[in-house]
Amino acid sequence: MRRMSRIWHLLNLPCSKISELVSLSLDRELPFAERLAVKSHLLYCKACRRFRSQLLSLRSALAQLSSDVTGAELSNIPRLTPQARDRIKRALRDADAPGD
Amino acid sequence: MGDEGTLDPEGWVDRHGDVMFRYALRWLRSSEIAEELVQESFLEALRARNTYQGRSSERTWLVGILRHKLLDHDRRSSRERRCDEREISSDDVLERCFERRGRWKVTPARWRENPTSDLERREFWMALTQCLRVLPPGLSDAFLLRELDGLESDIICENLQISPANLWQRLHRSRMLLRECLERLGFGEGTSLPRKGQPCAGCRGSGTS
Repeated sequence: MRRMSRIWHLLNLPCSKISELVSLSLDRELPFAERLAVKSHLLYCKACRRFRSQLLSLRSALAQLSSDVTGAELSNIPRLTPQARDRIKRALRDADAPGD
Repeated sequence: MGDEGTLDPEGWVDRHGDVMFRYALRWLRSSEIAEELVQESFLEALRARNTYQGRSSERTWLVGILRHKLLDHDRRSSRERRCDEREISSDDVLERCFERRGRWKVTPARWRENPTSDLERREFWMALTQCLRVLPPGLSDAFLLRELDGLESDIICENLQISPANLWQRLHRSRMLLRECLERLGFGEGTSLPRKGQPCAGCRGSGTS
């Protein structure tokens, strides 16, 4: 009985809770019952399906940000300076040189 | 060996140098020491490259080495890192988005696929960058370590000194704020272009549209 009531509860979660679970599912695997709750909710809820798709678009955009020259220029996100990059590469070359 | 890149130490710098630098910078808040420890980590990885089994990704392996360097640095400098479990205010984004019974107040818009032309890309990046600035620092640190740098939760929690539950809460709020901001900038139905002239200040505290 308690199990049935838990399943009923999970199948009736509001969008606010489902959105949390959708977000969480991007960071770790959800337990089976919560996965089921999300899947069944998404079947009938267009708003949460759109939300999920927005999060996936955001993830894919962010993954490109650091490799996209324009994105990197505009975003002002901290990066190694070209001088530091060259210095590190030189140090690696020196350390990897035969005889070291 | 699980990854051919492991045989190419200079390639490590191109592929993972920025991620490692940002990780160290968030830990230390000093770019000089961060650069120094990133260099030491790459040299350590070079010495240990034959022991890399490919069980974890190349990035996870390298960040793991950097993490040890950072912990050593903390020990040497007797620096004590404090847990930071405070809730970061995110301007009640959840209240703005949901009714009391938990339904969306406004259905999220359908965004078009990623912009393809140079102009579209530039405008998209400008909008995204503008929206990233809306995030409070405690949220943006967590969000960028996860989504920009692709680091796993446990590594981020250690860097920010927060629990997994706190991290997931920060990530969720960041995503809610960003999607809200992008929609207000015009990422609505059928367009990926932000509308010009709309300040991002409108993303915050003005209720839902």
